Amino acid sequence: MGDADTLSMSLNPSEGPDWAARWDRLYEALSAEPRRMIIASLLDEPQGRRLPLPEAAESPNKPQDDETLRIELCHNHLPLLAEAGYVRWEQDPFVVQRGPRFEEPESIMEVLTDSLDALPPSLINNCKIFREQVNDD
Amino acid sequence: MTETGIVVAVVEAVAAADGHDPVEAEPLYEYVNPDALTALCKQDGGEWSLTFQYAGHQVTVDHRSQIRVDGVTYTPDASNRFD
Repeated sequence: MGDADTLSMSLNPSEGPDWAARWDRLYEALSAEPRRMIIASLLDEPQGRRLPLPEAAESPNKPQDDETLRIELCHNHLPLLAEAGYVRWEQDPFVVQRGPRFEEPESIMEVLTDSLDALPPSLINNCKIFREQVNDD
Repeated sequence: MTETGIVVAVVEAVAAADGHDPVEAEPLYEYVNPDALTALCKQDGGEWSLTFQYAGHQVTVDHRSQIRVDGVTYTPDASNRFD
């Protein structure tokens, strides 16, 4: 940090680079498959439309017992996504919709799905989610 | 243990102690980072235990994924078994 004087003010970490925290948050949010599925499910839905859970979080790659998924959603995935502002959710009825910052994960997912041809096979082979999105196009 | 098996197990252990539905219990997320807890339990090697407060209980998890709620070891029965 002794070199801070040589940096321009716009690069001063002490000013709190909000974008860096947002990127960290985004990668954290996308680091679990049920969370990726929820974001992917909401891509096709307009602001304000509510999707039923746990269906919107179910992965074709990893079928899970409904009750187990429900507990993981309520106690981990949904509070995390909601805190980041990506979604809003309710327990009864059990539904999810876009949150005020949905455009952050939306933008990354769209860049990814638009670039599937550029991804190495190790990241897409046998992934049923990507295959569905390719087939949708 | 599945990817987030420990999260379900902790929630079920405390719900069993309280006689609540696990889904309706307070979100574990508000007390401890569930991703961090899961990552810790997936680590091979080493001995550790982690104690935290959750919904009015003292919960301890260790390297064998054994769970104690207020000092009592939780043993899931067939009806609330986790994988």
